[in-house]
Order: sequence, then structure tokens, then C-alpha cells
Amino acid sequence: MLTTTSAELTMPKIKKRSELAAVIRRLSKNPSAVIGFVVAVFLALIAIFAPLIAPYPYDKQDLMHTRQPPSAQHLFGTDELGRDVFSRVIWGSRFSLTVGLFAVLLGSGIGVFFGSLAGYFGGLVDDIVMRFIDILQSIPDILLAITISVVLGPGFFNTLLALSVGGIPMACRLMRAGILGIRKQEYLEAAVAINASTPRIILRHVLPNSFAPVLVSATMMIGHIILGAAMLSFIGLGVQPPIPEWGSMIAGGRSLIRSCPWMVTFPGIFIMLAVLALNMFGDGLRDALDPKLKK
Amino acid sequence: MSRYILRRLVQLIPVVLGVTILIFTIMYLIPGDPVKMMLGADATIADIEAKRQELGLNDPYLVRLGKFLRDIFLHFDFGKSWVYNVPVTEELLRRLPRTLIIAAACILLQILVGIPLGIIAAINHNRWGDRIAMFIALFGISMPNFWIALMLVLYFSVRLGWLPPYGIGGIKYYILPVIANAFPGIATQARQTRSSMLEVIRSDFITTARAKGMSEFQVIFKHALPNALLPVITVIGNGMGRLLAGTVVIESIFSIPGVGMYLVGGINTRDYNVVQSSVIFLAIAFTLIMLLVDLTYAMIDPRIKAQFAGKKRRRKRHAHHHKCRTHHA
Amino acid sequence: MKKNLLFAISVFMIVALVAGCAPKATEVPTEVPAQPTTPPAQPTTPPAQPTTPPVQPTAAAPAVAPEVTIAISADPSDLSPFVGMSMGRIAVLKTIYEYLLETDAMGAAAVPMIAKSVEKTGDKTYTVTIFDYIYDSAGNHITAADVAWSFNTGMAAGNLRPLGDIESVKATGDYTVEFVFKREFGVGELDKVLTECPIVSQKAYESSADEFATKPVTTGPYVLTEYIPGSRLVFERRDDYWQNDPQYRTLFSQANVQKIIFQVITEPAQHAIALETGSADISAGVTGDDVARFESDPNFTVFKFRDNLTWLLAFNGSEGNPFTKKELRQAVAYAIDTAAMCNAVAPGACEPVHTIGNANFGGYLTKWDNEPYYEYDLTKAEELFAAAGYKPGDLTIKLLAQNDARNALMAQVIQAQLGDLGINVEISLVETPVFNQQKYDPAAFDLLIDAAAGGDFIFSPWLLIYDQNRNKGTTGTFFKDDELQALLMTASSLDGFNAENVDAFQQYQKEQLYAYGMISFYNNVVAVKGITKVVRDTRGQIIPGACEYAPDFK
Repeated sequence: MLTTTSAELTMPKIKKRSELAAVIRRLSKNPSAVIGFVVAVFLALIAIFAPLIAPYPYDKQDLMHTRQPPSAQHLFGTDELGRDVFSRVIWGSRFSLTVGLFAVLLGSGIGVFFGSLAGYFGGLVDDIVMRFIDILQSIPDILLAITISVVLGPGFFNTLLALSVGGIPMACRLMRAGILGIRKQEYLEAAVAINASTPRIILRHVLPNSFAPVLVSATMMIGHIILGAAMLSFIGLGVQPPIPEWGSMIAGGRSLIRSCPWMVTFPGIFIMLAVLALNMFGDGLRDALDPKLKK
Repeated sequence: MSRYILRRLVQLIPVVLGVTILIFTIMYLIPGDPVKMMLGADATIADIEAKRQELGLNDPYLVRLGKFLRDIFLHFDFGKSWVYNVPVTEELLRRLPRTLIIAAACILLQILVGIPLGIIAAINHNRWGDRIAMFIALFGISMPNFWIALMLVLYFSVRLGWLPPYGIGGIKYYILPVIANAFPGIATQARQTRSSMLEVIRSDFITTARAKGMSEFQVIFKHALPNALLPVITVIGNGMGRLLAGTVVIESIFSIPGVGMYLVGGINTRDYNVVQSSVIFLAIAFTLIMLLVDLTYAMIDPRIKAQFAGKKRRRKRHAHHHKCRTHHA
Repeated sequence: MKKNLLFAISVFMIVALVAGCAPKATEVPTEVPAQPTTPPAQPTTPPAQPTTPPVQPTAAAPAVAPEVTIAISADPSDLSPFVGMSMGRIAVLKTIYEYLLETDAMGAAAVPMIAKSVEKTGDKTYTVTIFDYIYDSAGNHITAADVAWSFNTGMAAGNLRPLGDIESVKATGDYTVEFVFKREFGVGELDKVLTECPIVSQKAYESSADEFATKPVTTGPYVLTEYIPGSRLVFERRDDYWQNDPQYRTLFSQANVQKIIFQVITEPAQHAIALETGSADISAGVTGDDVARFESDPNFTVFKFRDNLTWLLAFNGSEGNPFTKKELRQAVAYAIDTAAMCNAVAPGACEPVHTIGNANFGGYLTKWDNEPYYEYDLTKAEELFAAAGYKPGDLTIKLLAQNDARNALMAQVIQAQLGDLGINVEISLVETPVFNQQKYDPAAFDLLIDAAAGGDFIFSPWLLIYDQNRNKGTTGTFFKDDELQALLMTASSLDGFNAENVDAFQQYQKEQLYAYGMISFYNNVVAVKGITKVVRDTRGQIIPGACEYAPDFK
């Protein structure tokens, strides 16, 4: 049985590997996707090595030197508490990208799980799951995030949770559509025929083959979530200080946009870079994965 | 056709019911006592208890939910604001038009800017025209909308003095809020237009048209575009949700008394009736617009029109629709 | 420029003092606060003394300006008289309604408005006589029956807290009303009740379609001509205002401008923009950092007023909490640099305080300004910290505060400075409704940033946070101390409210330090040139009709 399964799997796997190579090849020919990828990796590296890059701790106050404009000592100036804005922006990449990434992983994970169930089983399961998704989707995701965030209270993890809910419907629908599309395909029927267990079929055969669209949407969703976190901060929810999440830095400093523009502009530029890069990469990825666009 | 519309309307009922229960449950779980907000910091414990009793806040969850559903679905009564003694429906109806004006104007803008950007990108696929058009489209969704809004105010109101920075009044008061709120829609619209144009451009009948010696202009605008526009309509409907949510921020930056501001104010004061009703209103508005989009879609596309009769076929269309819906958001 | 400004304000002050309306809430810290030796209000003598009119008719009546726009931060939403107070309502209510009495300035006795006089006719009984020529903007004659009805309706609604002290209100004649209270009143308490409930005509209220929510009938000198909820209110001057006797026209009965527009601006950053683009004339909502720009701009005047709120750090005194140790509380107070905190939170618009309260309040003793009050001293803090039995790193505590920008900054300053002492602080910034719930929960916090104001007299903020009769036998933050309570009751009683008793309480609370008064802000009102005087009520709200305008204003 084991041997047959792996034999069954070799076909799509090999196919997949060559497909992957083709996708990467197509991606590398797309300059904006490459730029997006490079910038995203660059920001990720900043996030990982933040403690090494940042000249000061993000919460190091200097109440004698507040609201200082950019200088050699403080590249991006200082904020109301005399903290180094550069260090906070660098550390902010860690918090903002983490919120974005993990909220998407969580939301997509839940969505993929229910989407798989709905798509694979169909019938009543499908109806129940999809009605619930309908309900969830008829409330704009930011409103949902706001209300859930109020229920959970402020904080890094709670913000992450609240923002993840908005990603569920999309991942669920994509997964379900993907599965409906490949359900009829032969290798699945074969797997069913050899009595592979249901979870195993979903996990090993269906998921990998329906994953591409979820991946594309997840990439772009990260940017959307980072902006969502900024919106929550604007309303007064979001992460707790002194955590330097970019959105909260902009929202908190917006009344100083005229007198101390550096406090708002630099985190703003980094949000822009991150969201732009992720979207450019995501767009490229979608083009590369779309078989209709193959040349 | 009318049977289809009727069926879709009937299908809305469980969704609205579900939204109602969901938002009621969320509000039930929200920490923070609305009565303390109403009575102020120096209210005595007895005062607070009496007010809670009066508002029925001491009842168990199911009793409260039951009352709430009965009032809404049997009496169409959304109750009064607790903080302010005004009926919620009345206030919502006064505010909804402002929110919808912003949303509608945003949609118009996203069509006028997003579709041309998408076409330019598709015609120049993988060339610099494509990249630049998409970069412009993406630029706008890369910044928090409240930041864009403040920048617009600083430039157009303070520096140039062209437009009022806030408030409501004539059309000019809506220009900055609409621009600030339209960016995400423009990006989505441009992307969707681009990818559906690409899809159509590569299809057989375009190849045929080209082969017949038609000019590129004719090919694009007479053949490709009309066909590519179908999924584009879906984007408009989907964008509605984001637009409505975006107004939460935009309204408060520009001091526009719309539904979004009402909702956030309601959350801040724990005015349950206000929050619940605003969310339900927005959800109904959103689902109705989605229905409208589906109908428009159906009416334009003859292939789908023909499919109304059979149930199986309808399902198939549905699946396709969902695919479009999620393609790009 | 700043000096000129201060000078200008001082000139206003002098003029105002000469004119007899002594706006106590105005800035200039050098101003001598009321001395408790002469308690500002003596309830035994009826606060309303027709023989000594409260406001002199302004000698040279200021020119009536055509129109003024006031930027307010929140929408009133509901203009009806008997619902609770909110940020939006507080800004406009006094332009709509009139009250039996009115308080012109903090710590001063209330003056007549609807009521002509108030007489104490029993231990708990007072008889109020109202003017016999009061007509509202719809022409309804207001009589004692309307007063009784207004109070009874207000009591039934349950939203106006001070009315809870009333046993009964009834009209005993056409123009006399008898009030019976549940208990004997202390200093200022009668004024609190009589300045709380708007007086409206029963007939007008009952014939209103929405109970005055959007179309109230006014009794004041203005009539509401337009209200767009969430956006703006427009008032026009009434030519037929009932109070034609200038000696009884209180601060709130002035009508120095023909048309008043209240414009709701919800985004703080937009208040400065509103003034700069000329779409508003006065705003109290300009954020601290923008104020500096206006101070150096000749087209604007910045009026500074000391805020009534004192921001304090309260310690949790419930059993088992580390802050039941006095040394630890004192160590924390010494570790916090309130001057630096001011500089961070609102540079130039903030001052460290010396008690819970400031010179705005009647009974404040200026000598406190020169007495030590836990000025920043890390060495002392470390000694006390060790004396309390702690080593750096031992203690992790939770700091609760509301989630607005100022609270966030204060919390972070405290976090960093207690960090220097070796205390780990976890910040919990929550929304106001959650805050109001958690601050009554002994398990929800160790330290609490809160604000106290609560009335005209220095003991009002003290009562608010310390009175153990209000809160199940403990102070607001769960300390039990009979001596504190006894001193507080004495200092706030009718015969005990004097400098000696007030000081005795201050010294005791300073030593025990159940709560540490940190800072108090200045409210900056920015006005365009041509507005020569800004007048505010005791809640710090601008009274547009009473502000003064240059002849060439607009």
C-alpha cells in the first residue's frame, strides 16, 4: 500500500517540480516581481537582524531630547519621548511583518481547513461552511476586525487574532474552488480507489494542488493586514505601547504631522515599501502561476 | 429572471439573520459597561443596577438575543440609542446617504482611473507600460488611508486653499474624502482589468480578429474590452465592502457624519443598539449591492442568462462567480 | 511674542477683575487662589443675592459681531435636556438651556439665572423664587410648575446624577418652588443640584416631536436655527430674550455675537487646519505641538487656561498588593520625574502639581506650591524601594490607563522611569468603557493613571478618589483608612472647611500617598485675531456669546 501510494505520488510530484522551476523562471523574468521580492526579503532581513541594526533599544527614552529633527546621531529624529525613530522603525519591521505574516497564516490556515472540508465533502458540509462564510463575508473585514479587537482587548497577539479573521473567507473560497476543480482528476480517483484515508487524500493530494491561488492571495493579504493594523491603531485599538508597530507609530504621531513630520513620515515610508513590495511580488506570482499566460 | 431574483432575495434572509446573531454575540462579549458610560464616573452602584435592569442588560444571553431578533425581524424596530435618546433607524437613514455618496463616487473614480490603467497594463504586457501602470495602481494601496487623507488635506486645503478640509456641504466637500478612499478600489480595478484583458487577448477569437487584419485599436476596444469587462463588474461589488469599511476612518478624518462615524462612536460608548444596527445596515447594503452586481452580470452575459433555468448550471455559475470574487481582492 | 501674549492676558484679567466677573479659571499661575479662610461659598447665606448682582453690565457694551465659528471635538447627537452628559453635549448645552443658578467661575458661588433667589427654609428644605417674566424662544411663559416638572422629569430619567439627592420638588406658587433633599448639604452641594437640571417649558417639551433631541426650544439668548447631527449647529441671537435687566444677565446670558456656529471636527489634527484655512474662528482642540506655531503667528491669539483635571497615579491598596507598603508608594513617586513627563506629553502646556487638585479650586493653599511633593530623586527612591524590602527586578506590576495619546505617553514615561528603579511595568491601555469597569476591580491593576476634578472646591477631587463612603468602605483604589476619612469629612464639612483642616488633610494624604498627583494641563484656546477675550464655563467650555470681539471682527 505504501509503495503504491508513493508510486501514485511520483507523477504529480515530478510534474510539480518542473512546474515550480517554470514558475521561478517566469518570475525571474518579471522585473517588478523581482524588485518586490528583493525589497520584501530586505525588510525581512531587517526584521530578523533588528537588534543588530538598531542603534538604540526601541523603548529607550531620553526626555531631555524629545522631538529632535533627524541628525547624525538620530537618523530619523526622535519622538515625543526622545526615542530614536530609526531604531523604532527598524524594530517596527519585526512587529509589523509578524502581525502581517502570522495573521495571514492563521486566517488562511483556518480558511484552507474549512475550504478543504467544504470542497472535498460537498453536500451538507459544503452548505453549512459556505453559509457561514457568506455571513462572515457580508460584514466588511475591517469592521469585523474592529469589533473583534474590542472584544479581545488591545495587545500584540489579540490584534493579530482580530486581523486574521478577515482572511478566512477568501482562503476558504479559493481552496474550495480549487478542490472542486481538481476533484474529478484522475490521480484523486486513483487514490480513492486504493482506499487511502480521507485526511490523507486531502493533505497529500488535494491541498498541494489547490494551493497556488491561496499562496498568491496570502502574499498580498500580508500588506492588507499591515494596513489594517494601522487602521486599528487609528481608532485607538491595536498593539500596546511601547511596541513600535509601524501603523501605531503613524496613528500616534499624526497630530504632529506638521510640527515633527519625521515621526510620521519614516514609518509611513516603510509601510509603503512593505505593502508595495508584497503586492508587486504577489502580482508577479499570480502571473507566473497562471497557465493561460504561459508563452 | 424574476424567479431568480426572488430566490436570491430569499437566500439573503439567513445571511442577514446570521449577521444579526453574530454581531449581537460579539457585542454581548464586549467588555465595558454601557451603563457606567451613560451615568458617568460618580454614579452609585444602585443607580447603575437600576439602569441595567431597565435596559434588560441583566437578562441571560438567549433572552436578550430572542428579544433583539423579535424586535428586528417582527417589528422592524432597531431600538433607540442608549446614550442619546434618538431612534437608531432614523439616524441611520439620515446618515446612510452620506456614506453611500462617498462609496458611489469612489466606485466612479475607480472605474474612470482603474480600468484605463488596467488596459494600458494589459496592452503593454510585460513591458514598461505594464509595470508603470501597475506601480501607479499599487502605490495608492500602500499607505494607510488616514495618512493619505491628512496629506491631501495639508496640500489641497492648507497649502493651495482649493478645497475645504472637512465638514459637509456641497460637492467640493466630498472631493478629498472620495480621493482618499478610492485608492484601494483603483488598484483592485486596475489589476482585475489587466488580468481579464490578458485572458481575453489570448483567446481564439481575438487571434481570429487579428488574423482578419483588424487594427490593434479595433481589436482592443471592440472585441477584447467588452468581453473583459464582465469580471470587472464583480470587482465593483466586492470593493463595496472595503469602501464601506474605509469610510469609518475617512468620515472621522473629514468630520462627515456618516454611518462609519456613527458606528465607531457607538463602539466607544458601548451603545449596543447603534453598533448592531449599523453593522446590520451595512451588511444589508453590501449584500444587496452584491446581488445587484450579480444581476447586472447576468444580464450582460448571454451565456449566463441562458443558465438561469437549470439548478445545476446555476451552481456552476456560482462557482465561477466565487472564483472571480476572490481572484484579486 | 509669548511675553506680549502673557501681558495681553494679564491685561484682560485686570479688566475682567475690575469689571467684577473675575474669571478664576484663567491662566497666569501667579494669580492668588481663593483662601479657605474665607470659604468662597457660604450656603447659609443664599447664594443668589439680588442685592449684589453677579455681573456688572459691561460698561461699554462690546460690539455685536456678526458671526463666529467654534470648532468642537464631538457631536452632541442629542440636544434634549434630561440625558447624560457627553463631550459633545457639554460644549453646546449652555447655549441652549438655562438653569436655576449658574456658576461663573470655579470655587465661586453660583449666581441667579432662572432663579431670582434661594432661601433655606428648613434643614433639608429650600425655597426657590424664580423671575416672573421668563419666556422661551417659542413664547411659552415659564412658571414654577415648569421648574418642578423639569426637575421631576430629570429625576425620573436618572441621568443627572446630583438630582439623586432630591427627595421632592413641588411648585408652591406661580413663581416659588420648594425643594426637599434627602440629607443636609455640605459646601457647594446645593449649587451642584441647582446648576444641573435644565429648565424647560413642559408645554414646549411635550409638543416637541422628538423631545428636544434635534429641535430644542431655548430659554437662553440664542435660538437654534439649524442642526445637522454630526456636523454643525447654528444659533441666532434672540431679540426677545426675556432677561432684559442687565444686572441679572450672567456670563451665559451675554450675546456679543449675532450668529454662532458650532462645527464638529472629530480629527484632532484638523483643528489647527480649520483655524489656518479660516473655516473656524476658535478652537480648544488644537493639539499641543501645533499651539507653538499659533503663538508665533500674529493672526492668532492663544489663550491659556489651567485645566481642572489633575492626572494622578493611584496605587492599588487591596489586600496582598505590594502597594499596601507605604515606602513602595513613596519610592514610585520619587522615581517619576513629573517635570520631564510634562515636557514629553505637552511641552509648554503642562505643570507638575503639588496635591490632587490645583489653584483653580476654591480652598487651594498657595503655600503647597513651595512645599516638597516627591520631586524626582532616584537615590531617595532607591532607598525607599530597598526599605520596602525589594530588590531591582523583583517586582512586575500592571499599569492601567485609558487608550488616548496623552495617557499612552504618561504610561510610557512611568514605565521607563520605574524601569530605572528596577520595577517592570506592563502597560495596559484600554478603551474608556473598559477602563471604567476595570478600575473598580482590585485584580485588574496595580497602578492606575486617572484624572480627578469633580467640583468647585479643593476637596471635591479628594472626595472623588478617597471618600470611603462611596465605595464599599474603601478609597477608590481599595485602601482602608479611618483617619484619612475623618480628616476628609472634616475638611469638606460646612463648618470644617478652612485652611487648617484642608492643610491637615493635605499633609496626611501626602504622607500616606494612596494616590500621587502628577501633572495638570493647560487648555489652549486658539482664536483668530479680533476675538479679544475668550470666556469659558466651569467645565472649560467656550461660551461664544460671552466672548468679546473687536469692532472690526469679520
